[in-house]
Amino acid sequence: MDKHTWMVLLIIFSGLCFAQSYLCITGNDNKLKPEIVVNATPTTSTVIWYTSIPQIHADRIVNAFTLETGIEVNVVRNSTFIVRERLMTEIENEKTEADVVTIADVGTFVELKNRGHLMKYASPHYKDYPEEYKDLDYWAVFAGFGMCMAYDESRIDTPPQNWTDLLDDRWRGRIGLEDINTAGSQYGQYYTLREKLGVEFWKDLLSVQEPKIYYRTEELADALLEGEIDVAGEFSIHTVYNYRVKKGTSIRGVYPEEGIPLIINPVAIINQTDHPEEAKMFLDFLLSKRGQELMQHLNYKYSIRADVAPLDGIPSFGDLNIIQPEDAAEYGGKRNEYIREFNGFFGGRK
Amino acid sequence: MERTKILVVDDNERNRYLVSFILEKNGFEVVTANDGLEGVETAREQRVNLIIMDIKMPKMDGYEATIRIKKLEGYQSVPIIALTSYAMAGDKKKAVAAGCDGYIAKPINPETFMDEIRRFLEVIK
Amino acid sequence: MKEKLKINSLKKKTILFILIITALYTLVSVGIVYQVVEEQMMAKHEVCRNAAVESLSYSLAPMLDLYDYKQVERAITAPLAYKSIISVTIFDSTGTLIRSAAKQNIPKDLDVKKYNITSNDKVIGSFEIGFSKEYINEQIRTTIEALVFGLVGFFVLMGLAIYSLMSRSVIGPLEAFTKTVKEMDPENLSPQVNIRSEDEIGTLAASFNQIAEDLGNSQRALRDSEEKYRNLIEHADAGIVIIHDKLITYLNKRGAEMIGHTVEEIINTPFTEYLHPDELPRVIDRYKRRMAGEDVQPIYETAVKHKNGSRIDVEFNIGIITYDGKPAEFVFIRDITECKKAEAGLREAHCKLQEAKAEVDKEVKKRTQQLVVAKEDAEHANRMKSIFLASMSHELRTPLNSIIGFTGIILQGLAGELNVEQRTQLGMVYASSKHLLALINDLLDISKIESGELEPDLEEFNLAEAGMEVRDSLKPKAEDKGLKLIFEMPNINVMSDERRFKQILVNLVNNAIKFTEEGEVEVKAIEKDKSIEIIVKDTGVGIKKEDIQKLFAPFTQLEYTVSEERGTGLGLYLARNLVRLLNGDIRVESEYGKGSIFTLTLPLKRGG
Repeated sequence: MDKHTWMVLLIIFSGLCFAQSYLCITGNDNKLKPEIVVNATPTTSTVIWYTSIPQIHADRIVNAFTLETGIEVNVVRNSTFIVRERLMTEIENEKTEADVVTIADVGTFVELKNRGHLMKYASPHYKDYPEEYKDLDYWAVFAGFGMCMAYDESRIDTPPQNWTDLLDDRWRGRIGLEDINTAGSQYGQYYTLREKLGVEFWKDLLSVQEPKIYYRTEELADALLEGEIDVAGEFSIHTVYNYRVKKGTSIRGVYPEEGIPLIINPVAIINQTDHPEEAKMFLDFLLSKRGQELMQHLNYKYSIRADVAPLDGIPSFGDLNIIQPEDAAEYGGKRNEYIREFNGFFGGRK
Repeated sequence: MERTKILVVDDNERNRYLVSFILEKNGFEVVTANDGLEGVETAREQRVNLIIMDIKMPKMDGYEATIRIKKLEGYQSVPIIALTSYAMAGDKKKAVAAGCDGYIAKPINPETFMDEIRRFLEVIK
Repeated sequence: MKEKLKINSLKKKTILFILIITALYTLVSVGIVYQVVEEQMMAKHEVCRNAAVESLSYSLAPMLDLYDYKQVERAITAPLAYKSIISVTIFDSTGTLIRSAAKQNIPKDLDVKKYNITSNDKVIGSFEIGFSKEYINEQIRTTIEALVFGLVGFFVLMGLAIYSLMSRSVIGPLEAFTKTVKEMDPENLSPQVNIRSEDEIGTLAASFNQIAEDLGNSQRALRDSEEKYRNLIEHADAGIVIIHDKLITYLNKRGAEMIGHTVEEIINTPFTEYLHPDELPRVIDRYKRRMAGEDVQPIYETAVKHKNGSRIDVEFNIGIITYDGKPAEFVFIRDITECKKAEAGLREAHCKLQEAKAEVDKEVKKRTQQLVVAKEDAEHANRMKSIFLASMSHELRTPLNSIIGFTGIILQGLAGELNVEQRTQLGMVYASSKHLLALINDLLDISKIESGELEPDLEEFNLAEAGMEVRDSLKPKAEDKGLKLIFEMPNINVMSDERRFKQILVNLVNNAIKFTEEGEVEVKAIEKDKSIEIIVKDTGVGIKKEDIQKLFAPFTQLEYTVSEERGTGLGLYLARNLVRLLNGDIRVESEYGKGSIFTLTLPLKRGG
């Protein structure tokens, strides 16, 4: 082999060496990432939970439950009325998977019970709930939240003190509300205050005061913080807690003496459940002190149970002037009508 | 004043006569000798102021006589003039070597003879 | 094959060197890097571990608190990005598994540690982390691999470069050099190495070429010389033999011819075989003596034996030389048979010659005697002549002395007054006798010159004085003719014959005056380097060109003059001879009608 051939070969060899060297270094990095296997608490069976509780809170509650019991829970979450529609439609079609239901609309529960879709189950925890907050053996209030007003402390020095204050000119165009079509809380507030303060209140508020409608509580809170609105005409106390205590923002709540509408979030088991035992266990958990404490810890909503210590930073349940719909059935029955009314007042803005 | 006495030594009578005549006519006292020997004697006996010596003479030639006379007392300063006929090479040298103070060629030139003699006499004075 | 493995060339050495360096360097680097990397990785491992533990401890607490297991999953999966962490497992306060994340392949050295998760000083759960150091080894191995490959690659390139460089500037030229030298024809050592680089190799090549050239030249010269000598010896007309230890080791053609053998027959045979038996003992004896160191006559006559048995007379001329490194006898053999014959003839001739010589000698003696006699006669004649001249000189002058003398004094009036007629006539007598004297003088002089008797009387005299005397003696004559007489003589002493000098000068000036009717006569002396030129210039009648030839011939008198005075006709002839006697000369330049210039040149022997 002549010299040149040798040289060429050697150069190629050298090149290969360098290449190999390079590969060694980089290849290492690009080595297949080892597969990671994540295991969770071993579960045996699954419960399907339809709820309007915020997804994260629902998930966390479920985590605790699964850990304890080994029972997996599938969370089907959406806003109150969407869940309601879905559930109702599924039940109509006799094809629902829902095992446990927790939505912020007591009317639905009354309806379901009346139509025999709720399982009767004597949870040991029912005893811890006052009459007005349960239908013994059918449902009890998983969580309740009060409606208040809210404002940004850093922007507003003199917030409205009462619901009726919202009708002041000062607040015109500077009020935020939630969408009644989807937010159960908004309907609750509408119904309750309509009963308490009269329909004129709402008429004025909606058609004169030019409120802004938001579709999610977070949006409403952000609007406050950003100064889009000066006051949230509809705000939940647990959200105040969230934004004030947890998040440390300058949102403050106003708890009118006129009355705090309470929206309750009952929990019940659907009769058609495929997993009755598991559903029962879940319901028990939700209504137990532990579950309630967890709920409060996670959700900041009010627990009806007396043995659950209240949260700091918001008025305790007992301090509030709770107002509730007189008639739960009517609460449910008037819904469509009142929603239409709301929309009408709102649409008829000048 | 004493006249300058000149001794003429020559073996030829006519020559003697000639030279003496010129000298006497020019106011010099002349004594003669016939040959070298006589010449030396005469020189010894009489004091002369100049000697004219012929070279070729019998009994004693001019060279010999000159040598002898020069040895005589008082004759170192007396000029001896050789009369030479330049017959042989080296005549002049010989004369000088013998002690002659000068030389005159024979035959004498009567026109210049006295001048030459007087020149030699100047020397003494 | 073994040949191929031997390290016997620069190329192989270079390659070997490169390989060794590569190996050494690689080993050392690997060792060092291994150490360093291991250390570093161990440290990092620890750091990583602690960091993971801390971060998990910190982050998991709130997650657990909120039952945010989604986050928990993320939190426990994240550390698995580290190679050192294999598994993370979270438990709640009761020890129930909340979540676990683990890598597929559990290494053998899995080391699991448990840590508590606290919130507000309350243990709300715990987690376990599984560590492994296997990856370190993996990493080190990879690093080392990369390093080795890199180094090898690098060194191969470097090696190639070095090899190329070496090859081009050293190995290549050296190989070419070596090859050329190896293949060089030892017979033809001409410069062949073609390396022109301007470094040591180039210098070496140039030097080599030079040496080769010189060597080639000297070889050629040697060959030529050798050929010359070989030819000399081979074609010498005498036998040349070289004897080592009694054996003839060299013989030239003529030597072999001499005794009728061929060279091959004689080589390496003892020399004694070819000697004539009569001579054998003598020669051997001499040989022995010579070998013993005795001082034996190298040349002697002896005889050898021809192949056909006849005797050949020879002359040996023996020398001891070193031939082929050993002492040997070198014998130069001359065939003297002819010589001998010639010798005999020569001897006869010699005898005859001796006889003839005796005859001749006798004759010579006779002639010599005659010559001696003749010489004596001649010398005698010469002597007679000298004496004659001398006495003539004296005898002739004596009566003249009387004649001129007396006539002169009578004319001077010293003997009495003279009448006019007497003066006139006596004057004539005086003049005639003067003329006669002049003639006698001239004749005597010429005679002396002719017989070689005339010798210059050399003495130191002053030129100016001599000139003055000449001038004084001739001034009256010039004045009589109304001529100006100019004398310019330098006041220098010269060594010459004063009398003759004056004689010559008088002659020249006299002539000048004689032949000049009006004008002047100028006498001037010019000093030259080794001679003095005395010029006698007149404004006289001059000399015709055709007459200049005859000027210096004796008894010539030119008729141009109107003077009554008659010269001797010998003046210039004598003058010239005299001058030549004094090692000088006279020459003349003249223009008829204008004048003449006589130049007298004398060698200047300056007086002291």
